[in-house]
Amino acid sequence: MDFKDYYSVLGVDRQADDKVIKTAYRKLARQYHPDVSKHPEAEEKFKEVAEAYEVLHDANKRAEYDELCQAREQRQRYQGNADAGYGGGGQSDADFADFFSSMFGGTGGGGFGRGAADPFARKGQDVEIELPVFLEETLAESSKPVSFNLQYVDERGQPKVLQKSLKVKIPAGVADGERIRLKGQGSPGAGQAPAGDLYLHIRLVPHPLFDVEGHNLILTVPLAPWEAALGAKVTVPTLSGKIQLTIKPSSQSGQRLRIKGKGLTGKQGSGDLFAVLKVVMPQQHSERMQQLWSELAEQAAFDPRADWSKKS
Amino acid sequence: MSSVYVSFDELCQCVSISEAQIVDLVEQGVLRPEAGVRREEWRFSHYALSRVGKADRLHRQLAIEWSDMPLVLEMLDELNELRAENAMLKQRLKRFLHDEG
Repeated sequence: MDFKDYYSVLGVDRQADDKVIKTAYRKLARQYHPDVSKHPEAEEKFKEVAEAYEVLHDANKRAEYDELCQAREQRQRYQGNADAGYGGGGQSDADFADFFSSMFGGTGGGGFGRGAADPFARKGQDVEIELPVFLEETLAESSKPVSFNLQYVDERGQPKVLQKSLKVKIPAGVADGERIRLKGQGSPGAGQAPAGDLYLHIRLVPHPLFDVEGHNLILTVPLAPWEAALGAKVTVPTLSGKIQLTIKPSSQSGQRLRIKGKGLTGKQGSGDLFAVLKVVMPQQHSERMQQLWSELAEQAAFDPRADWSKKS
Repeated sequence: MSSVYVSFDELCQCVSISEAQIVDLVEQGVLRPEAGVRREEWRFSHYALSRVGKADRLHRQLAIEWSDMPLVLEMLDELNELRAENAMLKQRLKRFLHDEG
């Protein structure tokens, strides 16, 4: 653990009073709170800010922290170089970090399991991790390996990290944002108290072809202009294999065709697959094609902007 | 693997919110018991558990007053739904639009 300058984390100076510290904390907390923010590093940032505030808004902790800062500065002055390795008989940075976490660590955050009979018994913290799931995996019950780290404080108040690997059953039809609870798989409890729970926060991985709308899937189907004009039979992919799709003559760009039951598995039956037609032009035209298009342009009495002249 | 519902007592043990506060959240419609009429019969889903945890965090870490909590939670729900919908619509639009150059 590195030394952290709590004052710079909150963006206040050493002389800042309680009110300034509180205001700075609130502003940053609103910005980075993981329940509110969509900042990619919100959780990490918020932890830093909360840790800084926990120390600086408490007069006793702040006084202790200030003393530590002073001692550190003096030491650095003796050494002449702030970042030089310190091989002397005094405190090393590692000792410093240990001292630090034993003084302040393990007190913030959780707040779980209060009021148990054993004053030292404390239910372990609940842990939430994101679990990316592919659309294909939601069609039937699947099993996925999950690895994660648990941070907890042992009986002697030392912070520990426990690595865990589990094989988790993912029920068919899980939706984006759903949470799966695994009882007792969170951080170990203190004393006789039970372990916390593990929550798997399901995140559907974006698919290169299919978009998700509730339990329905949307597939964009590119068509050549003549396929849209004359109709066609097109092979299209679904999550469970290919199917033949009939395109009617005179189909339009943006038109949606419903393919029943080929969507995602839902709690009440399967969703549908919607094929959205998109007429695309060839990148290059040969001379012959150019000629055919010109012929068509001469023959066809079609004004796609006929509506404009009525409205303007 | 997991118990499907938690009781009112279990819910209270999982967070540092007072019982009265949780009852208030139920009365305000922020938390909805999946089953049970009287308090001792109430059964809550995991969703309620994570919602209570969220309310607890918002109160302790962002100093949101309990009286404002229903509004804040509702607005956050709506914000998240709109963000998800917006991301999905943008993604769909991208498949149709084609910028020149």
